[in-house]
Amino acid sequence: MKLINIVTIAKIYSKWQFRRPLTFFFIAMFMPISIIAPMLLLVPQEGWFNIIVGALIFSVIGGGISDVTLNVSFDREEKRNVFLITRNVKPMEYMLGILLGGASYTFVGAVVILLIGLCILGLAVTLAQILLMLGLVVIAWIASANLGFILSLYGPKDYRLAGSLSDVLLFSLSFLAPVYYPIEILPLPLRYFSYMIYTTHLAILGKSILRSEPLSLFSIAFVLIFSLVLFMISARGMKWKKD
Amino acid sequence: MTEPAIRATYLAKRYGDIQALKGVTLEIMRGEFCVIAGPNGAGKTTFLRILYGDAGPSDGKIFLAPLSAPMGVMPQEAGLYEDLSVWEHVYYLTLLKGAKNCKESAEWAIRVAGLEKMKKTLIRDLSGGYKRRVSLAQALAGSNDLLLLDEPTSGLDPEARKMMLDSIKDLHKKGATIVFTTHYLDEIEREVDRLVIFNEGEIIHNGDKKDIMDRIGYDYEIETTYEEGKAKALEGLNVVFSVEENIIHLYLPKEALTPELFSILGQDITLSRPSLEEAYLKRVKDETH
Repeated sequence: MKLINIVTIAKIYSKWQFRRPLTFFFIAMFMPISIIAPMLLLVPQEGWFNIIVGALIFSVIGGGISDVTLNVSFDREEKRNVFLITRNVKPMEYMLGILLGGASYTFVGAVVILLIGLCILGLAVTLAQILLMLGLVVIAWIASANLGFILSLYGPKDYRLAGSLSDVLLFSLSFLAPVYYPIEILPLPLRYFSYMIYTTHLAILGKSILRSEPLSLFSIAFVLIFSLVLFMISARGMKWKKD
Repeated sequence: MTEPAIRATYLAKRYGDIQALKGVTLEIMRGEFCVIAGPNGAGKTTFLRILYGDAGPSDGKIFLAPLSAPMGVMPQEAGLYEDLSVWEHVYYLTLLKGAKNCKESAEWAIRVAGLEKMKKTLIRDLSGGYKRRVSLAQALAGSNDLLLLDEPTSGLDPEARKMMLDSIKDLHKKGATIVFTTHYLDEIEREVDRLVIFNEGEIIHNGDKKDIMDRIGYDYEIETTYEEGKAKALEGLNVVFSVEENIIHLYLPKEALTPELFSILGQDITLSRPSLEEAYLKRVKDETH
């Protein structure tokens, strides 16, 4: 595996943010922040942690699932992979390049939301908390990007359909799952079901970090194992498909 | 041109019920300019895709000799990365080739493709013709040994077509092996070392230019305005001719160009030699019927 290939592919897939700044601003910042604003008005102050963490997770997994699904599906539809095949680029280099390229702009949005959130909450956070939050963002990104890979590899061939499916997944994982609201308000059966969803655990960990509470080892293990399994599935399926 | 750069042996390719290639055997020598022609659906692109690894053969073998530089491929259909600039597109794809002196190679390819003034232009802002030039530039950069070009001139205006052909000819003169598919044989008539014609997944002609020109069966075509007297006199000369829309077409061997013939035809004539394209069209027509 060549690092230069990974970095070059990352550059190819991250340039759009500079070429379409308004789209970037809308996706990475405006959309999550516009969801924060009305929620802060509706939710009592003690629930604001949920809103900030929810917006952060929504922003990161949105970039992961939707962007990666669209990138991979569109490459296949446009037959752009031929450029990589003829250059002996390995599928894993392509995958890691997209992961890295997407991370570069997703993290910008995540950091902005985190900073806005901290200002709103009036929290003085420690360096350790910030590092933990960034670590959480990395894991959320890896898991979500791999979900995007899996969706584009095993999902519909039409990139528009794959894109729509990724949006359904994104909104289910961000709004139906207890991300913007505490899990405790769910009835018990739904709570058990929610524990099987990785965004639930990301939200639990995010809120614990901001509140300086002890982190749930179960949630840490869940998101780590889930990310690893998704990575393995997508790495296994990521092949240059020959007719 | 002593050793093969490419050797395909009984290469077959099926797409479901469609047999795109039917046991194609072909050897292309190092430094050769091999033109692959054929009607739509003849199997040209499939053959090239197997060569550059984008498709696997259903049967048969392919051999590629070791290369001194990465292979350059200009695919027919692949979309470009629309949010990159021309420079970024060519440079990044050269980096991925693992070529030597990537910056210089990319600069050179951009210059050769006539894109020097557009280096900073985004791909999405380019016309279709300029996108083809970018596609050529990414193929040329860092690749001076083997070039596989799938209909590189399609969709180009005459000026761009000439520019593109000149740059490909230059590389050929420097020793590169060129495999070039096209529908337009006239444009490369002078450069062709070998012409391979595909039809319905098979090779129906494989030889140098002379082979196919010999098979057309005449050396000259003469056109003249139809007159009943002329037609009757020509019948007496035992020459092959046809009449279409008030024009008499004569297809003649060299030895048939006699003073007697010209006295019958008079001043009102157009004399031409058959082109490679005509020879190709006739060959495909003969094979199809």
